[in-house]
Parts: sequence; C-alpha cells; structure tokens
Amino acid sequence: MNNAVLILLTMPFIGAVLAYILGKIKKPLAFWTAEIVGAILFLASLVLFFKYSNTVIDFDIPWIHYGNFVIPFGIYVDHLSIIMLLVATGLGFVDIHFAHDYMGEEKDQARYYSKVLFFIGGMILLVITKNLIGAFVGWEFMGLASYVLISFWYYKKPAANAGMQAFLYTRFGDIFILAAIAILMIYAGTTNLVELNHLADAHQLNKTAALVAALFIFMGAIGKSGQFPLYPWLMNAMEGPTTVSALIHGATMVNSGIYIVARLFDFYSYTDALYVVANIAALSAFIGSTSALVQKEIKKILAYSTMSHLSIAFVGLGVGSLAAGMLHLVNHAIFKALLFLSAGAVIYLAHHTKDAWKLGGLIKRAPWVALFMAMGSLSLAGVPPFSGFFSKEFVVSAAWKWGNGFTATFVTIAALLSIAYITRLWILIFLGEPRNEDIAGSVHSPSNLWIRLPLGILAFITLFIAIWQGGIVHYIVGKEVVEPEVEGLTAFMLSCMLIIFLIVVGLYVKGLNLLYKIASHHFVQTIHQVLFNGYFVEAMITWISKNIFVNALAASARWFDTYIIDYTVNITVPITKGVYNIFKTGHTGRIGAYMGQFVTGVAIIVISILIIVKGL
Amino acid sequence: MSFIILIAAGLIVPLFYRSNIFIAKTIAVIAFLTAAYFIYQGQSLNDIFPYFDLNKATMLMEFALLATLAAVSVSLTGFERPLIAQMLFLAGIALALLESNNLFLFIVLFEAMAIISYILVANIRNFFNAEGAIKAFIAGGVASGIILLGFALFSFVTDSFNYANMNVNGKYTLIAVAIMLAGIFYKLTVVPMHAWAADAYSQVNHAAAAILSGVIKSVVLVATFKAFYKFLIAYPLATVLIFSFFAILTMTLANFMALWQKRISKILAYSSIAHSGYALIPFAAAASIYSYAGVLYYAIAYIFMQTSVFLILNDFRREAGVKYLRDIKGMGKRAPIHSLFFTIQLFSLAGIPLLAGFLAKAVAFYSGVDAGLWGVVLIAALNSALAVGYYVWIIKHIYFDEAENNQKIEMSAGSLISQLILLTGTLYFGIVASGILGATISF
Repeated sequence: MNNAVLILLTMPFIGAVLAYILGKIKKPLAFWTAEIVGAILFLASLVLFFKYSNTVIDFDIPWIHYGNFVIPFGIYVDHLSIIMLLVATGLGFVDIHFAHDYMGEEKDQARYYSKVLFFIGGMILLVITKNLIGAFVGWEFMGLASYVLISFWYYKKPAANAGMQAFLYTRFGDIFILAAIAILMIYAGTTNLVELNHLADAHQLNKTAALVAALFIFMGAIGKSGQFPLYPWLMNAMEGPTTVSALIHGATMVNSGIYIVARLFDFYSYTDALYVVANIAALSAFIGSTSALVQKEIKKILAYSTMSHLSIAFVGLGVGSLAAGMLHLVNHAIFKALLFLSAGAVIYLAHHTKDAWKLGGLIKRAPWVALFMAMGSLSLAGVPPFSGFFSKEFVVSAAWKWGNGFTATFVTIAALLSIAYITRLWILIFLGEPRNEDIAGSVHSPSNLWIRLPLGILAFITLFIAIWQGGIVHYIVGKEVVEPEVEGLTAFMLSCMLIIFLIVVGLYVKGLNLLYKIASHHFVQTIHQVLFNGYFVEAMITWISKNIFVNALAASARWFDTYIIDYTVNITVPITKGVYNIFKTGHTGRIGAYMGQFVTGVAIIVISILIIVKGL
Repeated sequence: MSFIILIAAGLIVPLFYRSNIFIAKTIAVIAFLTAAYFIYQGQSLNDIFPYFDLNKATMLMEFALLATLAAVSVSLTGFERPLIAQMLFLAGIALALLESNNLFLFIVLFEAMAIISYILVANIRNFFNAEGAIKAFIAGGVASGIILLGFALFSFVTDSFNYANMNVNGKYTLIAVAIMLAGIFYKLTVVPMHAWAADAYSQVNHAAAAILSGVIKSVVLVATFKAFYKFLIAYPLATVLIFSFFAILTMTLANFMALWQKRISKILAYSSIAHSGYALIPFAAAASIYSYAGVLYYAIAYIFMQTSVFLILNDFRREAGVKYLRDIKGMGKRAPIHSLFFTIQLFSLAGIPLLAGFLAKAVAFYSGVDAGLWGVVLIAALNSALAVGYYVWIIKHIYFDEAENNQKIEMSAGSLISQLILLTGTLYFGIVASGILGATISF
C-alpha cells in the first residue's frame, strides 16, 4: 500500500486515541498531538498531490471474505479525491490550529481533539474509498463525529438536543444509502463507485433501478449536506463549538453529499437523477439565502448561507456541469472556513456573545479580523476578483444554459442575495457603536499566532486561488472546460449586487430607524417569522414525526407490545405454575411412590419394546 | 498402571485424615496427575487384563474426569475429608468403566460405581442427609436388580460379552437390552426413574452431590453409549422411539419442576435431570455420525459445570448457611468471586455461547438434526429457553437484590484453585471444539 495513503487511513484514528490518552495525562498535549497529526495528514495529502497527480492509485482488498460472500474494500485516489483530501486535511489543520485559543478555556480538551481527529479520519476514508460500502462507513463515522461534536457541551440542553437532532436527521438520510447499497448489489452486482460509472457509460444498467439507487443516495446527500427538507439540523448544529461548525458544518462534512454525487457523476447523468438534484438544490438555495437575511445569531446566518451555497454547488452538478459544482465546492469550503473562523474569533473576542445585534463597533478592537472577514464576505458575495465570483458565475451561467427556468431563477436569486446577508452581518458586527454594554469595555485581543495567522492564510488563499480557477477545473475534470456564455449575465449580476449592496449599507448604516419602521409592519412581521424559522420546515418535520410516528405508529406498536406480547409473556407464569402443579403430584418424597414410578417406567419400556418387537 | 496408582493412593490417603489434610490432598492430586500422565502415555488396563480399550475419545473423557476430581479434592474441608479416598477409588473404577470393552465388566464396574456412590452419600450429618442417602440407596438397589435381570436375560442369548462380538439379533436381545437400559436410566436420572435424584442431590452433602450428579453421571453416560452403541444401531426404530420419548419427558418435566423450586440445591438437582434429557438426544440419534461426539461433548461439558455449581453451593452453605433462593440475595456484593464463578457456570448450564454448555448442546442437538429428529430438537431448544428462566432467576437474586446481611464471604485458596480448574475446562471446551470432534470422528 502506498505510504501516504496508509498514513491518511490510519493516522487520524491513532491520533485520536493518542490525543485522548496524552490529553488526560497533561492537558496541552492533546492540542499538540492533534496539531502534529493534522500537519502530517496535510503533508501526506500534499505528497499525493505532487507525486500522484499523473497516476491513479487504485487497488482492491476484500474487507470480509466468507465463502462466496465478499464485502470489498478498495482504495481509489484520483484528482477528485486529492482535491477533497487537500480541502479536508488543510482546513482540518487550520481549524485545529485555530482551536488552540478558541478552545483554550475548555477543560476537556482531550475529548475535543480526539473527536476532531476521528472526524477527519472519517472524511478521509470517505473520499479515498473505492466502494460505496467503504464510503458508507466513512459517512457514518462522520455522522457519529458530528453528533458527538455538536453535543460536545453535553451538559447544555440545547447542545445535547441539537446533537440528537443532527443524528436523527442525517440517519434518516443514511437509511436510504443503505437501501441504495442493497439495490445496487442486486441490480448492478457491484457497489464499486468507479465500476458504476463505467457501467453507466456503457449503458449496462437497469435504468429504473439505477434511478432509484441514485435518488436514494441523493437522499443521504440531502441529509448530510443540509438540503431541503432535511436542513434544520444544520442550523441547530451551531450549538456546538464554532471551530466544529467551521470544520464540519461549514467546510468539510457537509461537502460529502456533493462529493458522493460528483464521484458518481456519470452514473447520475445516465439515470436522469440530476434533474431532481438540480431542482431540490435550487429550492434549497432559495430557502437558505432568504432565511439567512433575517437571522440574529452570527452562526445561524453563516449556517443558512452554508446551506444556500452547498445548494449552489449542487445546482452546478445538477445542471450537468461537474466543473462548476466542484469548483464552487472548493471555493466555498475555503471562504466558509474563513468566515466561520472569523466568526469564531469575533465570538471569542466578545466573550461568547453570538447574537449579531448585540455586537457592533468591533472594527476598532480587531481591525485585522474585520479585514479578513471582509475578504471572506466578498468572496462569498461573489465580488470579483475573489474566488467566489468565478465559481458562482460559472454555476449561474451553467444553470441558465442547461437548466430549466425554475432552477436558473432560484439559483440566481440565491446567488444575488448572498451579498445582502453577508454585508448585513459584517456591518452589524464591525460598524456602528457597541450595542451591548458588557462588551463595550473589555474584549479579548486576538493573538497573532493562533487567531490572525490562520485567518490571514485563509484570506490569502481565497483571494489568490482565483488565479488558478481554470487550473482547478482542469485538474478535477481532466479537460479544459469553458464557462458557457450567457449574454449580459455578468453585467446583470454585478449591477444587481451593487444595488442590493447599496440598499443594505444604506439601511444598516444610516437607516436603522427606517428599518425598524418597516419591520414593525404586520405583513413584514409575518414574512420575517416565516424566514426566521426556516419556512417552518422543522416544525413540519416535528409535527409529522410526533403525530404520525410517535403518536400513531409507535403508540400502536406499544399497544401491541403491552397487550399482546407482554400478555403472552405474563401468561407463561400461570401456565408453568399449572404444569408444575401437575408434575408435582408425583414428587411426594416417599420412596415407595418413587419406586412405583420407577417400576412403571420399566414397564413402559418393556411393553413398548414388546409392541415394537411384535410389530417387527 | 493408573488404576493401580489411584487405588493405592486411595488406600494410603486415609492415614493422613487425622494428622494433616493438606498431605492427603497433595497425595490425591499427585495420584490424579500421575494417572493422567500414564493415560497420556497410552497405558491402559489392557496391559494387565485384555478386556479394555483406550482410544483418544476415552482419553479426553478421562482427562476431564481426573481434572474434575482433582478440583473437587482440592476444595474439600472439614468433615468432607473421607470423600478424598472415595474419589480416588471412584476414579480408578471410572477409568476402568470408561475403558471397558466388555458388557460383563461394564455391569460389574457399574455396580462397583453404584456402591461407591452409596458410600459417598453415606457421610450423614443430619436428618436430611440420611433421607437423601436412603433414597439413593433404595433406588440403586432396585435398579441393580433390574439391571441384573436384563443382564441375565441377555447372557442367555449371546455368545460373547465383548462389544465387538455381542449377538444383536437374538430373539430376546432387544427386550434384555431394554431392561438393562431401564436400570441404567436410574443412574442417568431419566424420568420416571428420576425422583430419588431430585431428593438425594439436594439433600446429601453438596460436595457428594457434585460428584454424584456431575462426575458419576457423565461417566455412566459415556460408558453406556459405548456399551450399547451396537444395539442402538441395530434397532433404529426402537432406539428413536424410546430415547426420544424419554428425552422429551425428562427435560420437560425437570425444567417445569425446576422453575418453581425455592431451594437452590433442588433447582440444580432438577437442572441436572433436565440435562440428562438433553444428553439422551444423541442416543436417539445414534444413527448419525455425530452421535458419539454429542454424548462425549455433553459428558465433558457437563462434568465441569455441574460439579462447579455444586461446589460453589457447598461453599455458600458452609460459610453462610445458604439453602433457599432468598439466602443468596446480594451475594454479588458479599461474595464477588464466588458469584462470578457461579454466574459463568450457570450461564454455561443455560447454554450461553463461548461456554462449554453451549457447544455441548449445539453438538448434541446437531446430531439430532443430522438423524432427522427435528421435532425432538425443537422441543429441546424450547426447553433450553425455558431453562434459562430459572438460571437467570438465580443470577438475578445474586446481583440485583439487596442482601439481608452484609457479612463478607472469603474464598479459600483451595476453592479458588478448584474453581479455576473447572472454569478452564468450561471455557476451553466452549471455544475449542476440534479436540472432541476430531477424536470421535472415526468411531
């Protein structure tokens, strides 16, 4: 096995155990173990990038081999995997580095770093495995890591609940992946991701079964990547530490849904499932971007924006442009990690105040953080020359070129609105006067090494990666992809963005009173409620699960359990007692009676033998 | 050679009863070990007297037997010391019985064993001991008469008592064998010849009961199968009918009886009877090539677990006066080591995997399936499920109920060693099945 791949596969899990044990011995050791392991993983990914970009690493080993029953496990590292590895390990490393200060006051650091490394291991396993079963294992590892990290502060009720919610929502999607594995096993005879693409290219798959499998896998992706309707967990997941949100719910894990669709891209194209992907994603993008407009908490704004941008990447894939989708995924991962970490820095500076309306005026205290966050925001908003501009433009023009009207319209709206909510967020945090007396006086000052450096690196990357956009696309897709020409789109987009930007700046910098006046209107209030609660999807899901699953199905199952099964179990007591009483009559304790039985037994044997002999 | 050593040790040991029990135990253990060594060397009684036969399967059973007896003798204390010499004699006779190649010798040695078992239970300390001993004695007497009746009948119709040359087609052979088996059933505690056992096992001294219910029964089980195998094969219809009927009757009745007992020793006594029922399944399935494996596995697994539970119960009774289920409440805290061993062995009796009891049941039931006795195996499986009820009930009392007093019970070194030996057997044969299956495959 390739050494770098071996390191990537095993190191995170070894590191997780080590970090826990060493961290229990001496607290800072947990961080340093994680930092070193993170650096090693990133270096291993870089080695793969520089040495194996020309050849694909591909080998098979059976995981479970029992007679004819084989569960294969293969490693397949191509350009797509390497890009995902670089994103996961690179951002993972920066995130661990950032956590030094952010989680510095935390008592249980051993647990934190151990879980983070475990998560990175799951992500790596997902992106380098060749088989859907292996991918599922990595997928579930990440699900587990996400659960334990969201509820990291398990003693806080909202955090514990959010963890459980994330677990249930994503698990609902994962069941479909399991079903897809079964369907593929039966109808395609393989779960090998590469082979599935080949079969699809050669038109050798049963189209209906393949469509069902593709949609089921997309169900899993919906759960993991926070698409409609399984997105509410992503917002509540913000109860976890911000570094966790940055790594898992901003930059890496939520990308796994996009990755799996991209990995099976030929398969998806063949089955026409991309049509569904594009439409669901466009709807999600719209929901995410509109809901982000009205949120109060910094992290919730970013969470809705994550949902919206993931959907934009999904739309890219859905309209048939692998290049657009993956490019946006990479760009988004970087600037979203930057934004989340900046938000983390802000929250850290402001003594864990998360409500954006309580902040303000922080630009004087933390100008560098403000600058880096502004760069991330501009990239997210899609302002040239930041990287976000190119990929977003690419997706939108691809949608107009190949998608239907619904997809194109909704994704355009979502793309335009991103400048609105991110500008609003930045203004609320950094401009104006401090709206909260508590933080007016004393804020932490950010340290250079642990806070400014990682932010600066990410900001630098998000600016300069724009130069290599064509290169990234070429690297992933393997050929030159030209952005489709849609006449006047860029000019339209940029002018709309400018108008929206001016409106937002005007409202939030100078016209807060006007804003309050507008917001107090009933109609606006209603819309605000709908948006603020994420279109009440969470309430709907809760209602369905409570009324249909808990109160109807579970209650009837409980009735069956109580009155049929328990009754059957309970009735065994009188039955056995009755049988016992019958048998007991023979056990009087008198040896005479015993001997009588003895002789009866002998008689039974002798008589039956006589009958048998006669019969013979 | 091993026979001579055991008998000689049995004669010497009583000299040390009064002076030093430790020396007596050491001599006994050394005798068991050297006996095992000579068996391992392949020296059987055949060298002296040409009616014996030692093969690998017999050897395994003998090792299990000697290990168990060594374990019992290490754990004995106080007034139980006469058992040491009795066990040495018992070991000698059991070895001969297992190796015997001749029906005449089988009957003689069986009776010798019966006599030793009367002496074992005759260690009478109170009224209950006396009642149990008398019951065992009278039942044994009646059974002896019946066995001899059958044997007399058989001796008319056969030309040879050698297992290989016995006549199986004589006019009265079947009836003679049936009567002999009916007598032997008393020792195997098959219903309805079992009633004495339920009383005797629970009323005599528990150490004696351990030997009586664990060791002697296992030995008789294997020896009987070897002695009567030829007839079981020759009369398949009668074999299947009689043994299936008695197997089902025995396990069902015993399990239902055990379920409602309050006295622990009685539960274990009925559990022992129920196990006889399971062990009869390979008899019924004699036509299967796995039948001998089933019998042997059952005997070996059973000898360890049954002996172990009675020895622990003996400790409980001696240290804390445990009699009834309510007395062992909270034993998990009062006597953690005892409770652990007790629980594991009870699990083994219940047939929980990775313990010998499970594999024994699996092999025995498999032989039944192999012979096509689906119905019997199904009932046996249901019975095993029922049996879990009372085993777990005991464990529930040990671990999940509050103790009435908190006096701690220490485990003596002898007890610990003996329990470790027995546990090793239970675990080893619960994991490694190849030894027994390999030894019996050529039978």
